Amino acid sequence: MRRTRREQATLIAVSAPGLILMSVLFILPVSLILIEAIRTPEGDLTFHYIAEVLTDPYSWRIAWFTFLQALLSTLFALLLGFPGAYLLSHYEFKGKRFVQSIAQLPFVLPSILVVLGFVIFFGNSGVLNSLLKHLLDLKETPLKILYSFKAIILAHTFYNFPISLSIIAAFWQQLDSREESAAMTLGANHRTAFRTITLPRLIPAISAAASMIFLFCFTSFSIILVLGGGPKFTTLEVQIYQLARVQFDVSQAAAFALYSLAISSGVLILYIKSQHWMQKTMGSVGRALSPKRTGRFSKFLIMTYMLLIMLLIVAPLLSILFRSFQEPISRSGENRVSLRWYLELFGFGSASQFFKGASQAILTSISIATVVTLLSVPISLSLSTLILQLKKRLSIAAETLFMLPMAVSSVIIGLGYAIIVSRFPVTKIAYPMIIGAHLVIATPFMIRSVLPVFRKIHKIYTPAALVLGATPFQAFLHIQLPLLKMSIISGAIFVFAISIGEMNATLLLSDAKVTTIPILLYRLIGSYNFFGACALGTLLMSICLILFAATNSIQERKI
Amino acid sequence: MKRLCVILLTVLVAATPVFAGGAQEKPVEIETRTLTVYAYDSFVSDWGPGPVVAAGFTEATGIELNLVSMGDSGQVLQRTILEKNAPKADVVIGIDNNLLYKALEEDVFAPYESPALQHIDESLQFDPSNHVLPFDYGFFSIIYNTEVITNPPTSLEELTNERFEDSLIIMDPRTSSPGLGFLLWTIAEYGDEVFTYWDRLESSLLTITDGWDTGYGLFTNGEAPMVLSYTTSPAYHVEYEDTNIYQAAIFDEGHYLQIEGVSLVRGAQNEEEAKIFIDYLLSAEAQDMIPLTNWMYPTHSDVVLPASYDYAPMAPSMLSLDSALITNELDTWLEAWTKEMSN
Repeated sequence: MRRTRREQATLIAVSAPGLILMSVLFILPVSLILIEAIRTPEGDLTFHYIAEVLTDPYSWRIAWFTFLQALLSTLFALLLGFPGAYLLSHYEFKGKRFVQSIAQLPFVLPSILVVLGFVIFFGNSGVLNSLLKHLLDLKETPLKILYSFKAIILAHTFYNFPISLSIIAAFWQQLDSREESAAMTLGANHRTAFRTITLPRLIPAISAAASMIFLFCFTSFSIILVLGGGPKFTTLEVQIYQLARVQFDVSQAAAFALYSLAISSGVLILYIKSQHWMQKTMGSVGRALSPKRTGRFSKFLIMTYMLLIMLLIVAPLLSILFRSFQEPISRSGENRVSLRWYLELFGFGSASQFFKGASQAILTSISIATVVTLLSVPISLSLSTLILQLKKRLSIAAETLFMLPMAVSSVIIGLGYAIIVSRFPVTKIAYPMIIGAHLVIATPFMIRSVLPVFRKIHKIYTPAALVLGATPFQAFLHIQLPLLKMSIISGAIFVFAISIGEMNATLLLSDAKVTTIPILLYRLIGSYNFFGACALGTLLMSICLILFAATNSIQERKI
Repeated sequence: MKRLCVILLTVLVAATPVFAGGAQEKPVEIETRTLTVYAYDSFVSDWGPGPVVAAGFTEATGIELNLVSMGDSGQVLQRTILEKNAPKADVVIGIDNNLLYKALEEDVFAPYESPALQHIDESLQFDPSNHVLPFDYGFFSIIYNTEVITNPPTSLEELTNERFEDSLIIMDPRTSSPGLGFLLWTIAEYGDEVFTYWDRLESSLLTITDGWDTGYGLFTNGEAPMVLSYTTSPAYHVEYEDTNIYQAAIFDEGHYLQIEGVSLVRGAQNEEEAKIFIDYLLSAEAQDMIPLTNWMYPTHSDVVLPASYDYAPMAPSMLSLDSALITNELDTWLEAWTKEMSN
């Protein structure tokens, strides 16, 4: 495809904002740190640090562990998500929307609350164990789940199976079901049809979900340390943190980060390839499944699955809600039911010291997340346009680059921002900087959602519109945008969630002058107020739940 | 086209309060003198000493205080080092005895012999060169739940007793400063034998958390009856929750000491104001605010502690390690610790 000069100019103009943002708030800060891995203090080129990591058996061990836990977590998240994906794509049932909304909740919560909620429920003195002890009249803790390798896998599964659920379900729903019908007409039973027709065709979606989950588990931090029980479970991310933040050894940290980045880029490319593959499998004239009504057996399946979801997701989240309505009472140390934290949250409390900034923080967080979500739409569309216009190799490279913020250690991004802030007066424009940083971190999720659909439209509908005499802009407005609406909405949920939960970059770029919900939450916990933190966490969950439910219902109505 | 306009408008409208908020927070640059102070995040938080100290300081001197934070004290030091050639901060708060040597090595601070030092006990003046002046201190300690443990441990050694199996939550020295404090504590007490101690301690550990907040949260949720924290932690529960079920286990051999300091930045743009602020932070007036906001002991010898501090016992003796030794050996210790705990 040869482009005219004018077309080229338009392409550059359209993709410029996204490119500038990526360069200033991602490529620049990350390169500033990574370059330390191949530089001596005097500024000469050296491979000393890189070689050192490569020859140290300990680094091999943590690299292997990081890989292994991510692999196992991915496997279990897939196993758990798969039946759910089947149910969601094949049946219409009560609570379907609820499942879809609640499955996304763990993403918005700061990891500290996820860990706390998990321990309050599954812990040795947690709800589940107390209940079992009481019911079975036991003395010993019946279920010692936590503080072990399996706890890490369990928590990662909890955190990530919604990804496999949504990716596989969305794909399955659009899969042409006539092939199965044909197979069965020809005498194949359900199982054979599934094994020989359905499953192979689902592989691209499974592989996309797997690579995404793997990426998240690969850079996991708190869950590994706290729920694993200690340093025998050390990941690359923990090693990078220790080197950069405790030992002030940026060169070594950067060397580790390079290796980590190499692996995660590989996985990212696998993800991108899988998405292309999904597209091919789906074809262009797929006839979507129409959800069936439920029979008795499927009802049983749905109930069982819902119960599992309740146990895994809702119970830990409910424990946070439960704690938020409690207040420690004098001497005996018993807790009593109380609205104290919520009252203080809205300024009715007696101890005015608490929650002074809570309503402000909520407002700030929601405003930032809203702006980020809205801006991520044009940015993602422009970057997607660029990806689609580039030649094959270059296109994959660009796509990988734009998705890379998902895969880079947050410690490294943080260090990069620290350098930027120390050299330039960026904190004077704290809000635009924070919004920019959130955009960089969250936009991959929008691109992830929009690009596949965009690619399809780009190949089929747009050329048709252009042939029929529409200008490119008209084609965009009347053909592309309406077709993209659904994927924009589902991407928006993720972008909003990522932005509202982001803390590290916000703290660094604002010089602590901007207080968001996660920052306030950490400060509450840091000043001994766990109940208050749970109340704020509950509020955060409620806001997001309402938003998710609303967007899910819009999506549903439009289908 | 119409639709695009609507979208653009929505973006703008949504963005307005945010940018307006940003504009409001910019300091008004009339002739008021402004001092920039870097501190760790919990210092500047709504519940920390930052807001009250800043208000008191401005009232007393007329100088505006610009309190800035970028995370924990390690990150504060890191930023200060990055800005060494063109410092933006005048004062840095939060360099403790573990970071002291690193800060001195990087030469980011200027010495200041504050007249307020005369009110500070000499044993607390941890930097004889006066680059870092002590403004508060505390002791690491094991906090226990009296409803579960009636007979608390009285030494580090007793923590290894099998009756405390899976009972203790500590923090990882690689990611948390109390965690590092505890590792140094065991090194101060056991010297070369330290890792055989950790070997014995391991069965008592329920988990090792990444930060103090998670560990303490698990503890107050009843997951374990003992947690690593500070001797002042019980005072919080007395002051704000009116309960004394959490108490500090006092060890006769002593507790590892943490002293936090305030420093004048070398090349500070407002050196004179910076000195006034340091004097203020060390004065009885500001020191009085420390116990209930920073949950540490004030260094000023005349300050009367609040009643809740009856539950924040002083350590019978202080343990500490030489700051230069820490900086030089830290990597080795952390590596050895990780190796020991990984088996």
